[in-house]
Amino acid sequence: MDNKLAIFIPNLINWDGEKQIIGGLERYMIALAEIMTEMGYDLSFHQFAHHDFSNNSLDWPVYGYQADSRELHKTIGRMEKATKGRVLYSSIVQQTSYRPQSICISHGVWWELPGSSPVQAQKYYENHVAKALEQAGLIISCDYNFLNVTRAIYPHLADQKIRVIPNFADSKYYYPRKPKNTDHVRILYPRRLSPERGFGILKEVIPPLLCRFPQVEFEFAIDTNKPEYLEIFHQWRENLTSKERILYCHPDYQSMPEVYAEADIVVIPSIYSEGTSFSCLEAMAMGKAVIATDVGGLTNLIINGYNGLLIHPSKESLYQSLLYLIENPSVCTRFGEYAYTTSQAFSRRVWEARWRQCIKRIYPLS
Amino acid sequence: MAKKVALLTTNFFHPKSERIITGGAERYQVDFCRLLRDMGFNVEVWQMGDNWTKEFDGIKIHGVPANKTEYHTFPELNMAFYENAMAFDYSVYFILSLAYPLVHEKSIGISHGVYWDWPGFDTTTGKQEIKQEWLRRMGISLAGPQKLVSVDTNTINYFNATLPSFYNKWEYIPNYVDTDLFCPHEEDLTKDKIRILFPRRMVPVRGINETMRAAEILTEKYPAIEFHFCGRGHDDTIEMLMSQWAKKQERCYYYWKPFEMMPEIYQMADIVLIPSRSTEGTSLAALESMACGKPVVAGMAGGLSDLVLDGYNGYLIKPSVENLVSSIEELIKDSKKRRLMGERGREIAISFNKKRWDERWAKIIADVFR
Repeated sequence: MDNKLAIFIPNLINWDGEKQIIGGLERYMIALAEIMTEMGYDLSFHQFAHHDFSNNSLDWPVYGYQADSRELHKTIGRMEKATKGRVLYSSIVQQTSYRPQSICISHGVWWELPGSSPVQAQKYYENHVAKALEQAGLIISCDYNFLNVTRAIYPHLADQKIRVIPNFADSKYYYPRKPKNTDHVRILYPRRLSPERGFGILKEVIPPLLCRFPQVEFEFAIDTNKPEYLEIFHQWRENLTSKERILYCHPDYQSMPEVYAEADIVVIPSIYSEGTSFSCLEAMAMGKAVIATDVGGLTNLIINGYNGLLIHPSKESLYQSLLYLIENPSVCTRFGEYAYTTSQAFSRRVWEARWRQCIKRIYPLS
Repeated sequence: MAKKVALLTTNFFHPKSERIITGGAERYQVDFCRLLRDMGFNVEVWQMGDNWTKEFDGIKIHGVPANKTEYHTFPELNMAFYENAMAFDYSVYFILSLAYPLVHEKSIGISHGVYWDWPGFDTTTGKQEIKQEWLRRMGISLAGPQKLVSVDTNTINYFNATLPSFYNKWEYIPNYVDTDLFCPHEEDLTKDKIRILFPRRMVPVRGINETMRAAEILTEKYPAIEFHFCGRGHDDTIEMLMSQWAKKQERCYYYWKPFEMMPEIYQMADIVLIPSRSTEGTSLAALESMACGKPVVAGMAGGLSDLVLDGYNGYLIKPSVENLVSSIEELIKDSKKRRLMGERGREIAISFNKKRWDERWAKIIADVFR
């Protein structure tokens, strides 16, 4: 068998084929592509697009396939036809059929939108999870939560097909820096502005906290993938009286460590759709006090009251937990220390070694 | 006058026989009733039984003749409780499925973890339609109580992924450990031996069969190690078979001890195994081992991933014989790692201290029961 392998991905670069997308899935796949290239595979990426394109600006060719977001399955069909041989599916969300000897990746339970119905939920797990369990050779899950939820739905299949490889924090870049010399308390939100990431509840608790504590400031480290989210953000910020204490930046991957270094508290207030979030792991590796929600894989990283706070994603609990940490800097320090030591258990080296094993087993090179 | 709380459970006492085995849920119930009493409530308990009233720890327990189960729910018992406890101000449904179909106005439902994640649950429910009907009924169980409390995050995440409308009712209150009672011993008690402890009920879902096989392999390979199986079986036959097996093995021991002896049992161990395949919450045995400063080899099931971080205070494994053998070997070979993981386990256990459990529960109770 030759060493060609096609990777299906929703979007490694934007739908115009011009700009790299900043996000967890994208970084994950670049890290994976690096080790697979080193192992001798000849990789190509296949993604959705506004019009067909091929792009060679990264280390691997990226092919865009014209897609209509209401009929993505048609585009998947075209990708399937265009690629021969071996395929790796970067996200279980993307398709509902799999080649037999293939790996599919779950980045966490994603369909638990609050207020959706049991019937809607069932469609997701029957169309995506059940199909992957039946057809794919192996499902790599980035957290224990996906495995445990799947086992509770499909008790006889989950353990046969799913292997957990938690995400990592790269200690080469993410490690505690010297404490900064200010009496400001900076609270960092290093996520997308999309609804599942909890910007909606965070923006409600910010004005009262800024009003109550003159030393507190918030920083938003946000991407520019979606202009409409940015617009909402700026509209909201403009109307606040203490907007000068709401900072924002659009860092690339390389400058993230500096952004974390300036923070005292990091909030990961996700409402749904979480795995073992890179943002959470990296904040931990930087030795920061983390407030995360009891959603998805975040529960596999933060132990409430030990290395951070694990809260129910509501305005009330987010406000109370921020209040507690602002008023107790010594608790922040302790959480940060334990967050750092626990993050060491999520090393990039272990992640790579586990992945190599799985790749060798499913896609053997002759 | 003191307000009255009625608590509904299935089997605190066995409905007929005198064989009483106290497990995690029973201990939880006793501690929970004590907390309610300390907060000034009068508490009484209902369960299945032949029209008797007994007393335990100063709490009246009523046996109601309603033993029928349908689709893993207990509508007959639920309705009998609804009528019998009408004079009470507040209700607690100690198992979530007991809240089907009807609940008192001010009530709380408790989940002790997912118990439908083993292949047998599908086999006993049989057809897919039956599981669908069970899930539909669980939807009604979740709709009734004002607050839903789960001992682990897995249950909350499962229900949000299948019955997503109750998102804001859930509260995570993990299980607890008395960290004064369960604490590390100052000296190394086993010296040049390495003692491996399996402190669970002797049932397949807890990984007993895999552990017995791992014990055979490892005791043969390492003369310094001992395997201790400490816990009851479901019946006399299982306990007899366990004893017979242990007698035939080198350095394998089977026994059980009362709760008061358990801190010492944990302290005597070097490695503790909680290799559950499924049906786990935030296991008391795991928390107690951690509080005693022991590394834990745990199955990646239910709430165990809320307690154990793989490679930090123990290992999270798929509990096959092979995985058990290799992770136990890692720890056998490295006494420094055992000590470090044990120390971290102790640190983590402190955040699951009984006092915090009391505080969290007191807050919920004050919110709902008013």
